[in-house]
Amino acid sequence: MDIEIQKITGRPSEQRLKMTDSESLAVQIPYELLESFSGSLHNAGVHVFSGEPMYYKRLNLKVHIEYLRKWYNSPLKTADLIQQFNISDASTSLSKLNRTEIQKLDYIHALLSGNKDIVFIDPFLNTVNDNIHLFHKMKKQLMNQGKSLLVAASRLEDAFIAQPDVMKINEQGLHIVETTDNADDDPDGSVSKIKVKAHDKTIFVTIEDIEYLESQDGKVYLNLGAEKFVMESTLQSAESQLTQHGFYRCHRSYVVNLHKVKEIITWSKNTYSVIIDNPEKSKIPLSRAKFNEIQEKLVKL
Amino acid sequence: MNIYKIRATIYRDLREFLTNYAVLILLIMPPAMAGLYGMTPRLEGTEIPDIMIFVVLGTALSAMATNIPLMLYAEENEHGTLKLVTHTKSDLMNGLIGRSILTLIVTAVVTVVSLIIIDGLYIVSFQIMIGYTAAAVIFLNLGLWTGLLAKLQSTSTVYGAMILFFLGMTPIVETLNLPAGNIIIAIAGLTPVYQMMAIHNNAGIMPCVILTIWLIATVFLVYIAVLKRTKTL
Repeated sequence: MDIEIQKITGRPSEQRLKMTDSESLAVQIPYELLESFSGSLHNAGVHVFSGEPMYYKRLNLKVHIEYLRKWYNSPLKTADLIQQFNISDASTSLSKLNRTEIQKLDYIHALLSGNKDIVFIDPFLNTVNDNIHLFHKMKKQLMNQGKSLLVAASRLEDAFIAQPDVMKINEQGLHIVETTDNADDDPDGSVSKIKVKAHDKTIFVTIEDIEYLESQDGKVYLNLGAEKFVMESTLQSAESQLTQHGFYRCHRSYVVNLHKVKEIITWSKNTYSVIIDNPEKSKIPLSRAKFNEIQEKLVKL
Repeated sequence: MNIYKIRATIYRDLREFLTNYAVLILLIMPPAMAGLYGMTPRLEGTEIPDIMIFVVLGTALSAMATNIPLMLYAEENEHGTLKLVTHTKSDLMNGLIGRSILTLIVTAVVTVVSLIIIDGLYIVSFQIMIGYTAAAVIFLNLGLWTGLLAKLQSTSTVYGAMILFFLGMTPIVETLNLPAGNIIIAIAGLTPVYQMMAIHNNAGIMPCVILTIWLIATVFLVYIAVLKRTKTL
């Protein structure tokens, strides 16, 4: 199954996103292109899971699973699926269940689906960590079934939750997400504030307020809670400048303030996230190679 | 045709019937009406008037065969649940067949129960059964047609009520004492329930011809609705 990039960007392009059996892809697509991405999948023979799960509110989870199992004539057993996905209340109607419990039906639906190509759009928005674990469980089973999975996320950090290697679609086309390291700039000496741009203003941000820095499209973005600013520097230069303030390069495209780290979560064998201590509990990708080192640093902090 | 998908639809709809209060009320409506008509005072030893029995039959057909699929499809269209597993025309057809089978079975059961309550089983004959089956499919088609096109549950209520009053309860026209040749009587005479009455009164081949025309017309309407709905899946 191939997805033509020109259908998403609206610009002439020969590029294609290729979905292959037993393989998964994660791609970051800006919010404004998600609609055209979703449109490009219409009638393309893929099973798309996006937005709010839509199920029959009067029926319970067990009836839904049994119905889907019958519809797709799947050999999987309802009782096993209920157990695997930690469904504690299978007999209450969906109208009385919360969203996170209903979201599990999407994962089960993907496993039961007769379609070989499965696409999830923004599956980690407004979800809980337990469901992200279940998502990875589902992903593993989909791969065992020989299906292909594509995760499209509007936020780069969400794409990294799905898997360590991530692609990106923007108006220029399809790219592999790589670091934008550039060591040309000399690191400054010890500083307590950092200069950032916001439209026509130059703002000086107190370093200890910074949660994390991310590199995207050649720019470095500085995240402070709900605010995001562009920094006039490279990620490597910023890293050198901030290391002494307790910052750590946890991923090729991310530098995190260790003082703001709440926990580290292992989603699968190779997929980790650093959870920031903020109301959104932002999930920052953590490279496999940095998994032990960051723990040592956090202990010694 | 996919037998698994048809069976799955019957499984889901059956559970939906049991948890949906609106459907439960529709299921109770014809037997309740039969009960009320059955209590009408009449001379000892006399049977209930045929018109009342056909009003109950028409109500059963329009409440069950039309309103149930109409309401379920309208709700699915409004909440987007039709797209849960229906992504192609073939999926839509499998779901439609499953829903139709269950609806026709439920309609038959409710009709028999209603006839027993009203003491009207005496009208049952081979000819009536053929006419009733054709009328049930016609009413079902009307429900499928309007249901597939209804975007909101509120509009489905309007469609359902119109079919119930104008096509289901048409024999009531007989009680209005309208003069022979009246336009209302003439139009009512072309409706499916009237054809069943005509069959019961041995009116020859004409009622069968009219039912066949209704059948062809409603099948065509369902076909158009399926094509139209497939485009928005």
